[in-house]
Amino acid sequence: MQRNVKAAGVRRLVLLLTISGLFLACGTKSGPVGGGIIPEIEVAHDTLMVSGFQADSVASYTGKLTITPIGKYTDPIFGDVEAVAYIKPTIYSFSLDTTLDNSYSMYLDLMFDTTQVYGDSLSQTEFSVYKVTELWRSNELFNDTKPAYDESVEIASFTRLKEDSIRISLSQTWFAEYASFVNDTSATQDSSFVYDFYGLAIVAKGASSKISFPVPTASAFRLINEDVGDTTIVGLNDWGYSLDYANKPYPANKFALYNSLDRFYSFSLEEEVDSLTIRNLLKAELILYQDTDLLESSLQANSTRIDIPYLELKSGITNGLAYGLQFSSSEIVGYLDESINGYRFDVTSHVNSYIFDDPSNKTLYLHMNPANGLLRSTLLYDETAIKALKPKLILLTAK
Amino acid sequence: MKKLSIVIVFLFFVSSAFAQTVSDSEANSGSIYSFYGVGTPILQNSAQEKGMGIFGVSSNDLETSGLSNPAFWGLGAFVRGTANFTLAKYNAEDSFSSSTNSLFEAGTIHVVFPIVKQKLGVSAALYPVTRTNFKSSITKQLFPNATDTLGYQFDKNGSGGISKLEFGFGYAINKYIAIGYAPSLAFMRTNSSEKIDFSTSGYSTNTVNTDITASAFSQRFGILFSKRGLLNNNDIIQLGSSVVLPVNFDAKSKSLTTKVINGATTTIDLDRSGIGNVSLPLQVSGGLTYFASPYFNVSADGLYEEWSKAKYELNLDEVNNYSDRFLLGIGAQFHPYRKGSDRFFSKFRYSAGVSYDKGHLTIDNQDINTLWFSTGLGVFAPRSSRSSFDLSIQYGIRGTTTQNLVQEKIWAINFSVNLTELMFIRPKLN
Repeated sequence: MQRNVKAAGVRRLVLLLTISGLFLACGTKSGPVGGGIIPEIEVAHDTLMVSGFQADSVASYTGKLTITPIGKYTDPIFGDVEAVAYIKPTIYSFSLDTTLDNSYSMYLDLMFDTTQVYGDSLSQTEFSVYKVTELWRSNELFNDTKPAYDESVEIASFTRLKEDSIRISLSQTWFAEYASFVNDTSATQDSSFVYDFYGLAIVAKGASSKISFPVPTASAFRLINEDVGDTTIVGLNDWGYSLDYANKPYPANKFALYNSLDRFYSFSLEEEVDSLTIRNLLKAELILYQDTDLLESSLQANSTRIDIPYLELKSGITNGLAYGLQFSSSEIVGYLDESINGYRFDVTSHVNSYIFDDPSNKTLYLHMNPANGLLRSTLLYDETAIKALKPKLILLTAK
Repeated sequence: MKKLSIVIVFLFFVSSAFAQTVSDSEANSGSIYSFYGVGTPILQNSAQEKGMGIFGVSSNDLETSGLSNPAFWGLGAFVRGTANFTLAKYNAEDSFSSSTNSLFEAGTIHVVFPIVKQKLGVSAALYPVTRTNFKSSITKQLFPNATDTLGYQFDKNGSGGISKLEFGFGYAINKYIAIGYAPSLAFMRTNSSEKIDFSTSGYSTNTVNTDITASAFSQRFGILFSKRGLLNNNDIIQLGSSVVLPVNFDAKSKSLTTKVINGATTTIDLDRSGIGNVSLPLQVSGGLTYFASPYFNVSADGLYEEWSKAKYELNLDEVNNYSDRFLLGIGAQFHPYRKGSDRFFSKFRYSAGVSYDKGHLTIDNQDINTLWFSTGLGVFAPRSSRSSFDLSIQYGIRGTTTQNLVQEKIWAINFSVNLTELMFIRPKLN
């Protein structure tokens, strides 16, 4: 009996304790309190104008890029541009049962990137194909390198409006020359092909108001035995392009950027940042404003430029400026913010390196990467612009 | 009974754990006023004493270890051990909003060993002296330029405090007077975290962690006067007092954050680090307990801490809010279990009391005081053991909402496990 009374009592106590715990556990939170007690951290922003931009130029690599531009276009802002493509078929990677003879014909199947047009999208461009007459190698081809070609003999010609592919019939004379290298069974075949056979140049003929963008990796030569109808695909051994910008009429007080590296800029944030005493930098953002009004108003009807979603900043380039700008990985990417028509670069890490270290690479290169071969250019406000449009560094700090 | 006691303890902890899982934002957060300086001062009284609303400097019942006064430790015949836990719920409100926080904390661990029965005893204890447990969140906007609006949330929270590892002794000079002394190592470790979380993409969260560490020597003294048969044959009157000397720390503060520098994440010292004097003030306490009979006793005690002279050189703004603290408490206990009745409600010890804590902070001329209403229950093991556990429930009202301050309504459950056993007794018969 006594035991039962005790057990009942303990059960009641257990109930009491559990209810107490649950009571304390229940609660709702309607909002933070203590704003008048806990001092707020001071988050502040500071805007510094950035100056000291130096224009520079370097020839860019143009061999074996994804895109090989062809054509001519007169850009009202960025000048007259002419792109000539150089291509060379391989003599390897395919096999024939017979030697190449005059029963064969040779064609060039050019595939185009139809999503991108620089110039008048409705215009038609005529092209001539010429035999190249001097040695060139894609790995050493720069945009200012223009291997000579024989304009006296047209190997082929074609016209492009907006086709995604074009088959070009090549002359039998040139084919015979190519066939002689393929049929060569001597030990010197390789060296003869490298040093004595230079391929073809594709050149805009007459007036042109558009740059087209063939895709060499999707393009190929084609050998067709006209007697039996057999087709053999011949890949490209080398490809590249030369680029010639002339008469650049862009305003003197603007930054004109060409992704061909015909113009890019170097600058340093050292002067702006070195005197900072802040330690807790939350974000450092460099903003460069695009002159969108001038870019858009300068275009003729039906003409377009290729969009530029981002610009790049690089530093610490050691393997040559052209190679570094073109092929080293992006250090800082500035994306276009259409709400302000400006490119925003997060340079927090770079500025922190000034605050907590002594950066060995202080020079930043502002450029557009030409790596894929599409031709891009843009116009930015420089340090002489009105205050709202000057290049600026916005620092967000906490104390 | 022993098994059921274990079940009770288990269920209590389950409910406590549940309290902690209600919401991360609510969990492990206590008084917002613990933000200041070294945090909120913690009393070393047990759940039994809390149930009476007193500090306990004069209330020596010989069946619990009694940490409030070192003079208690020489008087007992039993090995005594106590562990305390607290589960508190803070309903806080200011002029703009309100919130609810829950906090579960382990408190004191204390053991007393009698060396010479009812003459000399030694004590070892680990207990908190101050505690910092707060969370604060503020949402703000910033306008870096004409077109951008940058929203961010600033969260600040703190934890840690000062604890003491203490060894001491109590000695009964005669049947009227007992004294005690306890030196200790006081160590401080607090961490505060400041987090800025942006609502706009492209902005990284910034967190700054500040650690403050220090250690120092501390000591306290106690004295207890006892007199039997004052008004009748069964009564006892006890007068107790203790003094805790000021403690001075050379505290080191270090604030670290992480930054991406040259592509690598690097831990950065923000140069806010410093060394400064931090001190705990003199504490003097005294009280009177009158055991009218074995079944009933009343206590009244007070405590004074000289916080106006305490230092906190790591943040002079915070120390400017320190002010002297006094605490007054009065309470009573009823012990029906000693009558040996089998009735259920006669098997416990009941306590009740009220106390007023002026607080150690005066902010904008407002004392951050607390009025506590307390009640408690003692549950005993079977007669073969003197062990027990005590449960107290307190309701407190702290602070004010004037001057944009915070008023906290606090429900606290305190739980003490008291192990009271005869140990180290050589059996007379094998």
